[in-house]
Amino acid sequence: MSKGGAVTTARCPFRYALLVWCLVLHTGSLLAAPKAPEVYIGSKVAPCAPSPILQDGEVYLPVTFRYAGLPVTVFAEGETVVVRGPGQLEGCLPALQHQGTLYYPVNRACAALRLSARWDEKANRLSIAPRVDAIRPEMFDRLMTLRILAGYPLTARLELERNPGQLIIEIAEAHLFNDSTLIPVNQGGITRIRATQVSYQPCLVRITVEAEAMPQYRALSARATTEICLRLGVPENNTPEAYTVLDRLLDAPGSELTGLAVTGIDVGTSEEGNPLVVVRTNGPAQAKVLRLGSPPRVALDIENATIQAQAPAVPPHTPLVQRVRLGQFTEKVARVVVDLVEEAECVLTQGHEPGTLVLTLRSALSRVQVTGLKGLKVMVDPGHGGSLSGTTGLSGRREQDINLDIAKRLYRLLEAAGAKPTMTRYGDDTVGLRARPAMANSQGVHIFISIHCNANGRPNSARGIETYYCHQHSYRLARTLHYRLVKELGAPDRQVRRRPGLVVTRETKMPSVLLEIGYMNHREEDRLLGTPEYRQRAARAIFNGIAEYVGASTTAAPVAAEEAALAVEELEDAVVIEEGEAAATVEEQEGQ
Amino acid sequence: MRRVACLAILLLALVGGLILWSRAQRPPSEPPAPTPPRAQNAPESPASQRITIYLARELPRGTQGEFVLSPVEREVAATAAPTMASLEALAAGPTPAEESEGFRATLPEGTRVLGVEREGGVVTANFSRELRDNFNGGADWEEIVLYSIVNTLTELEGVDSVRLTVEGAPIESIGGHLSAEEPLRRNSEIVVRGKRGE
Repeated sequence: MSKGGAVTTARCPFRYALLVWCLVLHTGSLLAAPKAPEVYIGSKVAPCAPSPILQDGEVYLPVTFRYAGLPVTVFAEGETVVVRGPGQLEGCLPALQHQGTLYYPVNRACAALRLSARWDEKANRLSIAPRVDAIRPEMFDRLMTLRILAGYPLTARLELERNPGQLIIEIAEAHLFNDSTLIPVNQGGITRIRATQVSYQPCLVRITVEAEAMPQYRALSARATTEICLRLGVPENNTPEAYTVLDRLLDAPGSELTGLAVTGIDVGTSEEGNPLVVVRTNGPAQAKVLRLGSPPRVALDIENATIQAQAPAVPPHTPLVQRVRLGQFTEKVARVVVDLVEEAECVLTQGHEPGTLVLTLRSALSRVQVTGLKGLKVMVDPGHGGSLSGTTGLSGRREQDINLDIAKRLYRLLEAAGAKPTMTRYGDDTVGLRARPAMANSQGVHIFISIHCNANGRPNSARGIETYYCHQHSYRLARTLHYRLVKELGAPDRQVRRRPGLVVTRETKMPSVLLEIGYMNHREEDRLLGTPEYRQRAARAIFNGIAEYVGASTTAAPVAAEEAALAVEELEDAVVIEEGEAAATVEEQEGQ
Repeated sequence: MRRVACLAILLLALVGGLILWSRAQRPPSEPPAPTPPRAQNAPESPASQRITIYLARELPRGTQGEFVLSPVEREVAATAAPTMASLEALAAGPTPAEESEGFRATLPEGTRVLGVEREGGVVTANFSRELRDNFNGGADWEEIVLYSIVNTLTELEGVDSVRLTVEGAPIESIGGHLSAEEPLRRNSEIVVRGKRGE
């Protein structure tokens, strides 16, 4: 009896312990497995696999995420992620790689796309929606024109409140630029405008126009869908006569109110890399283009229009455009002035959206549209040289010599195909870093190719091809040459990289690339780069890439036998251009 | 006695559970933060100050010889000028322990710091000729070398930009890819890039 009792009580603590253990473990695991954050577009859940990740307080979305219902595309471009929205909205963002997928910071992407992203940590929820960018009331006499601007079409529900006089504008599926805003008016019977984000889930913005009496309004016609435009007023007193007067005022045609206005200006880049200036108006606009010299600029006169927009910031690396200014030229003419870096051609077209004017600029340098290799001016830039030494290979070979040799081989291939190549140096000369792009710009070449070999911080840790570019308009050239080199040399693909700091690609005005053709601190690649046939294959790959870029067939290239002969030439013998010939070429170019 | 055993077991269960819980609590999406290794045998005395320098760090396998800038801390004498001390620490490179974690020196072999001058927010760092003559690398390695200097110095309070000189004279470039003529501002992207793949 006593024995049995002892056993039961002895078991007891174990049972308790087990129970407590299980409890702790269970709650632990409940708390431990954090639910993947949910992503909402407007009020709807958007599937996101893999899940977003959080880093340093920023939310990152995978490049695979789709913005359901919004005209947004996302793609990887080398090591960056490019986001594109309607019109010319575009962002190029630094990406981070996590478990084999590229992720980009959603806040920065949304800022570029005129979207808003809200991270609710408590609810573990990311809400994305078109952003109501601005609320612009403007008083004309007793009437107000109210514009609500966004980058995407908005839908609004309007409601009048009698007591006190209020016009309530509810916009669903949008975020306000901040949580709440108060705009004092105190004119024409209108007290103020209040705007609040009622909630993010469901997604609702409320804008209330508060007045002394019940306001009357009209929705203005012929406006862009991305803008809600209202005209409203408050009667002077609460009599039927006052309402009749107000109605008449609201409906008055041809007044300032129905006048055209420039509501927004953006600067972007076309797919071909040409800069675009997009002018948005609230109606069908007539415009004239004026070209003004020294300093070069283009003026766009929009007739019968007023300015209701800010001068846009010019995105970095936009070719040709220095800045954009705007002002009321005369009482009836709004003028947009585009200050240019150099002489340019321009074309004015109507945009897809109603009331949009698109001014496309094209460098006068690329006026001669070259297709095919014939007459194509290519500047080949052998990296380093002279006292500006590059890297030294494991075998002791100098990068500047390898670069020069590949460049000369490329020069020969181009010349034989009818192109007009030039080089930044023809021997082991010292040519400054800035002097190189300056040569290309002054000679007006079509493309610029800088030839380099690579090295990094640890021998034998890396091998393969890296291709660098700076401006958007160089990406196609970079990509084309890069994949040719990777394929034809059978070398590892170390990606096309956008780097804003490289002088030769940044300062050249035409499409330009910097090729790093293998690592000289990798034993095997250094050995390969030391052989003339590998260098010939590299030159050939670049040549084929150029031909592909300009849409030429490569049959016009030198015959295989000639190339085979070239391939066995040693480094020193590969000097195919005589000094005198080189000088003549440069003079000829300068004389043009 | 029995009660003591009972309590002990309960405590054990609690502690064990807590350990497991806290382990599971770590979100799976957060990559492990690089632990800034401290200088070895650095005395923690009020007579010292802490500085941050940026060294090259090789990303883990899978990215093959890809380098980024990563901060490490050093303890130096409180009396030392932080600009000079930072550059000297940079020239000394990583400790053997750091080296085994993938850290690499950024300044070319034999580079000496000849002096540092500060004028407002601009610091001028003067190096021996080895900075340019012994530089061995491509475009991205030059970016690492250049910004290890710039980011290290702009880490210091009030320093906005860095001008480089070699033996007192301005230089066009260290390695022939990037310009070093103008005072350079901090490049955070090259540090952020480091989180990729970690």
